[in-house]
Amino acid sequence: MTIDLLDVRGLAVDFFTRTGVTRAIDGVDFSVGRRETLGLVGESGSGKTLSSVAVLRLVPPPARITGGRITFDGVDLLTRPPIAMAALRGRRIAMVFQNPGYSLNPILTIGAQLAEILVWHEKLSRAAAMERVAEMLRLVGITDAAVRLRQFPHELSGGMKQRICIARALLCRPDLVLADEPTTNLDVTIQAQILELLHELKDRFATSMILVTHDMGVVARMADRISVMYAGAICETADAATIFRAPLHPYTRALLQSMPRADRSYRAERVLPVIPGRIPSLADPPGGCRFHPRCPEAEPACRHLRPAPVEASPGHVVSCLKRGSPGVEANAAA
Amino acid sequence: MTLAVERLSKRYPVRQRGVFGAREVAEIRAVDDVSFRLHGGECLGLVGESGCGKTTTARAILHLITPTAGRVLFEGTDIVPVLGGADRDAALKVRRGIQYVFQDPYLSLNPRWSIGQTLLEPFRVHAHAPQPEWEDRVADLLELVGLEATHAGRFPHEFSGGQRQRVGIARALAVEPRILICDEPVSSLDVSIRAQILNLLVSLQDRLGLTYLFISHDLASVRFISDRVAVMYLGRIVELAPVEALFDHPHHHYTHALLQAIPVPDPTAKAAPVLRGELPSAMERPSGCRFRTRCPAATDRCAAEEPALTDMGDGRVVACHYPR
Repeated sequence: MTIDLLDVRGLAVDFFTRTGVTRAIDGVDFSVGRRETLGLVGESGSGKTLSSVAVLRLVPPPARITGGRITFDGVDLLTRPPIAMAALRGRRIAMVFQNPGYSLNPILTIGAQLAEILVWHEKLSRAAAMERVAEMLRLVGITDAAVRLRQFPHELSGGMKQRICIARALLCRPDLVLADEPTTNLDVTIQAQILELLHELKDRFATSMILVTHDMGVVARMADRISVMYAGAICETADAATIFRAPLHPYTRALLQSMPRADRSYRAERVLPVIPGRIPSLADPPGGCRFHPRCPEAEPACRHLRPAPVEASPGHVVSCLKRGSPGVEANAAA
Repeated sequence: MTLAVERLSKRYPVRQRGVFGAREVAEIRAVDDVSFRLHGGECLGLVGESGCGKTTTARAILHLITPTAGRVLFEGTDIVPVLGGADRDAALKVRRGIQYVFQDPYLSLNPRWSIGQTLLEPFRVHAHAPQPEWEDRVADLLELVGLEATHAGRFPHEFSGGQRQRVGIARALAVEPRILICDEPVSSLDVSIRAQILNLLVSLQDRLGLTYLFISHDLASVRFISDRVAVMYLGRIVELAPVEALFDHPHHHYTHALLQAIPVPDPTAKAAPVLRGELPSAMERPSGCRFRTRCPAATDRCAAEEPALTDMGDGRVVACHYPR
């Protein structure tokens, strides 16, 4: 077995609030191989973003990482000193954020804010850095790079800004890119352009990627493997084809069914299968299996036993008592 | 036929300040000569990307934005002068017939009003029911949209996005309208909640005989809920057809590109060719056909001559010189 670029085991993130400590992310495992794209899928409050930024140790307060191991290229990131993390962020692990409008500095030109990264990480001169930035802008499909370098973010369209953010992430040729909903705010035709670009660049730079998204269509297009998250825990991990063809976890199945699709007719049936109830808050997740209050297959044991991940078939890991997961007493946590 | 929109336009002048005061240098045609009909009991989907004018169209219909030109016939009368006029009672009567469900359930509810207060407001404004009945009617409304009567005492922050959207729908239904204009009602909701709200809209339509104008950029939701679909691009309708015909055999190249761009939840699906370029700025509208700058089939004729919406016979209209 080859060694994964990133391996996250038993990641736990707690919220420290005035009323007490709650475990938001509960024992999350995922790994990303070299050149692989892992899709981290889930609805809001599933902890997908929190789990991905945890890799960079950028979990915002009042949340804190309280357990687990994050091994990146053989090194446990959770034990590294802050200065080593700073050297890593943006150089070996880079991020593409959801809203390109907010993640660019509005008072610096594109050239200035991108060149800064190279000056900082690679100690290039400003002129040399500018040249590298221009080259990268061309690689992300921006034809008039020289003009764009002198422009400010507000002068650019949303799609253009996201191209700039992708260029920024790739500047130092990182080993891993964390892309958090990179196309969610874009129109569908622009989304298609950006997805194509990400695909192309990933091959070109041999980059691994974690793609965080709520969109099953986007993840089907991009990911090699998929982890489905719900309320701070991973339900199921498998290669992309298996997740869509033969999902095991009741949540994955229900999610796929409840989604309206543009490529099928609804003349015959006028009702979508739904997942009843509402999405729990990460600050107050249900006990036992976190999906049990909405699960069609739930039984009494699901209420207090947390399902541990079990490998149903090679590479297909599921956490569900009804699929053979061993149950863990929930109170063992926190 | 319940509602007919005829040659509706909304233009915004672009002024430049000079030495001798401001002068008009250009205009943005947010909605440009849009016509369509809404038949009783149907759901018409209105789709397009941001800036195509779909929300402006919806708001202009209800005079939330004053239209520059055009008529909106509701049961035979032009409601544009009524809604813009001084006769409050006449305007209220129109508004009882057509209600609006807003996109963002976080911004469209008053955070300092309980749900009960929010739902009582239409009764206070319209006074269409005797006052002693109001409280009961609010309770009925809450149950109608799948909430509980006891929720009336709660405040918006106590509700999730899906529940707030239910409140938004209940508020619109309070005056027993015939037409609901739903502006991206499910766009801010999660997948599992989106299905619940779509099902609710379908069941309300069946039970109350409602007519919907359903505005969305989410083509999957539109396919699920709509009977007919209109596609807008840069302020114009480029194609309007029954839902199956539009999705299965789009005739306009833009409709085709839009459908191709939707990522399919199937990892084995081949990525479709990507539409190049971006939406032109609203101030630099291309000559002739507005889509020609991105269209794979464009010729010189498309630059010279703007294609008119042409009836294709099967309930479809298309504005293209070279339909697919």
